[in-house]
Amino acid sequence: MDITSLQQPPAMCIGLEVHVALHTKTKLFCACPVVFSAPPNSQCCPICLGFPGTLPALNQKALFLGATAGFLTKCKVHSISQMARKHYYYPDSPKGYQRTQAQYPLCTQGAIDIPGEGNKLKTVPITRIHIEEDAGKSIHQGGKTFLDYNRCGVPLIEIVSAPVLSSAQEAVSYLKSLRQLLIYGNVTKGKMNEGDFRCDVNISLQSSSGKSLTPRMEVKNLNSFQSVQDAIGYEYQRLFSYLEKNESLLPQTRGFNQKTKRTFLLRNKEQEEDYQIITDPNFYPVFLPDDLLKEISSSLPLAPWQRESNYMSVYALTPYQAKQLSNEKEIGDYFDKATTFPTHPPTLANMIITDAFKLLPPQSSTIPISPEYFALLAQLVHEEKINSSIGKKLVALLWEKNQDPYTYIETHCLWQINDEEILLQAIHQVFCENPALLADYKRGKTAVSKSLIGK
Amino acid sequence: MANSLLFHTIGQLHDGLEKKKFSPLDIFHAYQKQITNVEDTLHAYLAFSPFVNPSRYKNNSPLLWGIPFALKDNICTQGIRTTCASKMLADFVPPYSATVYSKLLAQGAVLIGKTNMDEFSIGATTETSAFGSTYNPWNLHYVPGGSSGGSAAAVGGLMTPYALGTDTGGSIRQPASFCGVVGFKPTYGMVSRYGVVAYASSLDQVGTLTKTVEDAAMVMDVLQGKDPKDATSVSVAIDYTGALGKPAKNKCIGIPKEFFSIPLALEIEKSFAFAMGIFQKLGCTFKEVSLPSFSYLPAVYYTLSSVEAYSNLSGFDGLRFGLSDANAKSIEDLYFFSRNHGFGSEVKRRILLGALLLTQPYKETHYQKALLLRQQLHHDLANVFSGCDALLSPVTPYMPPNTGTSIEEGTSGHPGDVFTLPANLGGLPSLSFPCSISADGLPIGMQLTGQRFSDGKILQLGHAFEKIRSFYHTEVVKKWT
Repeated sequence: MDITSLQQPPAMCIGLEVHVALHTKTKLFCACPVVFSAPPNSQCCPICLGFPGTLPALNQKALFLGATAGFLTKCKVHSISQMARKHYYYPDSPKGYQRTQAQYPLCTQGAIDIPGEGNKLKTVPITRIHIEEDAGKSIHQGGKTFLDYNRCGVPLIEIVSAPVLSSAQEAVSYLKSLRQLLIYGNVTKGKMNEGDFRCDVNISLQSSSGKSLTPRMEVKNLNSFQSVQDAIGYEYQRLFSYLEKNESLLPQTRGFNQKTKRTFLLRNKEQEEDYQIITDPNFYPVFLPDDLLKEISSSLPLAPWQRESNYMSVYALTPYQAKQLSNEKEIGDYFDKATTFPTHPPTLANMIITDAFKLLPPQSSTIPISPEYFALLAQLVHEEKINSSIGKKLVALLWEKNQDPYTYIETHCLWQINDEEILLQAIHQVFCENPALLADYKRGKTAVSKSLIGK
Repeated sequence: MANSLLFHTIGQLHDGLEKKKFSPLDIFHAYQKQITNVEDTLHAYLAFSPFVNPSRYKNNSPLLWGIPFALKDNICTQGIRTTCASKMLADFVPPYSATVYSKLLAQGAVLIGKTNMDEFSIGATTETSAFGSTYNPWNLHYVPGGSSGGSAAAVGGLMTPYALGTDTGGSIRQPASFCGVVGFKPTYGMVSRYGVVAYASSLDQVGTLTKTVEDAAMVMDVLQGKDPKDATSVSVAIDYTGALGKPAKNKCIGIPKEFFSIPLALEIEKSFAFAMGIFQKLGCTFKEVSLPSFSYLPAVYYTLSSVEAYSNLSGFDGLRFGLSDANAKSIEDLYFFSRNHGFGSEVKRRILLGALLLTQPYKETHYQKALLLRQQLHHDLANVFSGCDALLSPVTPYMPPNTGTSIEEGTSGHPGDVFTLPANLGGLPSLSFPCSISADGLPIGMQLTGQRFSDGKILQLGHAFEKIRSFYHTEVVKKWT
């Protein structure tokens, strides 16, 4: 391929496969608890260790969460799907095969919209979502390999996107949107540092007319948005340099080194890995009756952008406010609860964003003030019954000790006085008591107005 | 008395226990004595269990209470070595029990021992056991059959009142026929497979080896039931003992015409005719039926069972359990050591065949086709059973082979399991019941097979047969007295 014949630099053609850890109490096929960072091999049993004669029992909650993920991403969630066995030898896979879904996955043909070029939305089709079990962990240390089977059997969904992403930014945008959506749906905790959200990137270069210029490269097991961005960046350069030198390329499976920020070869794909996939004879087809599907799809939490648009249309919040309140599900839930009490939503929104957010400990979205009290506070500020700086102080106070703001205001005489006559009287009194300051002001020292107001 | 305890059926033993004529320990001792008499020559057992007193019942103890039983050694027994007759599991002591074992213990049944089998249930003579062959209690020159040969020989040799086995292609029914006992494989899904080491998951079922059909029903009533630990078990309740005693009159018995395109040993032909006569006497009618996919079934069976065996045995790698090399320098060395030394040659052959059949082009030409043909068989069977209650056939086309000869594809070029395979591929209930004795003194069994969940009807027919022709009370008692 003569790269000089191209009018424009080659474009990227990126597809993503994400493995998402489902938020369940127990593993996919046994009752072992799912606990992050437990002592090695302490969360295992004969079933997840693949002992002779043991059989799997499908975790129904995991199945529901898989279906939920499908509904959240507007997929067709199939009433009937099938478990399959994918065979390969590796010490972290005790049975010599992984239980997954192949020909008949749980969900197909969905899509999510992500923020794209300019302010436009880009639709990213989702080819499929299927449930599968995670493998154990191999830890290489001191020339030996240690095996921890705690993670073996943890429920995952694999979400495969169509290869329509065209840049690292788009890829990261897709991942962020997907993650937020799934956290919103209570499908996953989405904790990147616990490996809840791992990504494989499939990338090839193509001409602007869509003609493929390189074979497809797969970079496996990226577990942060930064590594996804860096890996794509590196691969683009690497592939581009091959094209420049007119060297041939084979499809490859590659890993990513976070320290050097480079990808490295794991294996060439000339021989497609033959997983000898068969339907798993230890299961009848996985069945989700229609009424259950209806129940799941009708009790979905709102997607973040749905919530955003609701906030703008229903509560007349600004786009900024709407976005700030929808970003973390817990905050939006709080706001929703608070607005069930008499309040002024835009003021409430403002106070949460300006005053409450800065009081939140890192990585927490829990506001310790009762929604009812915060709602009341916002109402009082809006009606000018207390001024906004008193309002701010009260937020901090209620944060420390949750209490009825009305009572506190009463006891501490914090009501804002709005009656003009009373105000004039008070002003007159201040002027009488401070003739010197008044004289200064009349002479032009407007700065003293502050101390006058303070009285 | 000891002698007569050996001849007691489960019902008779239960009766005696209730009436306090003897105790569980008395029964255990009687069978233990028989074991010391004949086990050295028969080699039906791999391990013995000491007597464990079942918890007391004043009266109305469960049917199986206090009565000894044996288990094929692929059924996991917590704290007791379970080897599958393989070097791979020679020292394997499972920390969990099979559901069927737990169910029997809950009834107060008493484990007497674990029986010999073909390694990992792959075989039809019990000669592929890594721990030596078992011999036919009727004549030591002949095989007891397999893969549940140890269980069949233990019951046939009066070394246990009853035993459990597993049947994937005929592994209960064929040895039952060779050893002159009743062998029953229930409808697929009726009995939990949890804790039973898998050979071919879609074909394996746990079943019974007993002296009589009535005994089989008693044990089946206990074994059956949906198990949340086995996703393939079903919530269908069958009243096995309740089905007995109903008359066989007017039941329609189907004779598949394709079955008789197979040349049969003369003795077996005679026995089959004799069986037909008995059913005629019972008031049954006969009808010729057709199973068009019959000739493909051995290929379908060997394809599917080899693929599933290959898959199920993939996890035996020496890492977490089983034969292992502590000095292995790499994971490949470990895999190679465990699987090379742990598996016998028949198991290796089957694993390789399974692996090959999952590789293209064989995956398409053999494996996918086998799956489709299995579906076709279901259609054929639905047609057949819409017109009759049960199929009658011999259990095998030929008599038990001599020990030491390999059973390969059968003396006439047809595999010996042609008659037993359809029940496994179709998930059907199937009963092997002793019918006659050959001129050489070897038992010959006949087989009744029904549509799925018609287990009761099959046992009903078998029981009606044994009321007229009690093989047990004539031939067996005659042999051992």
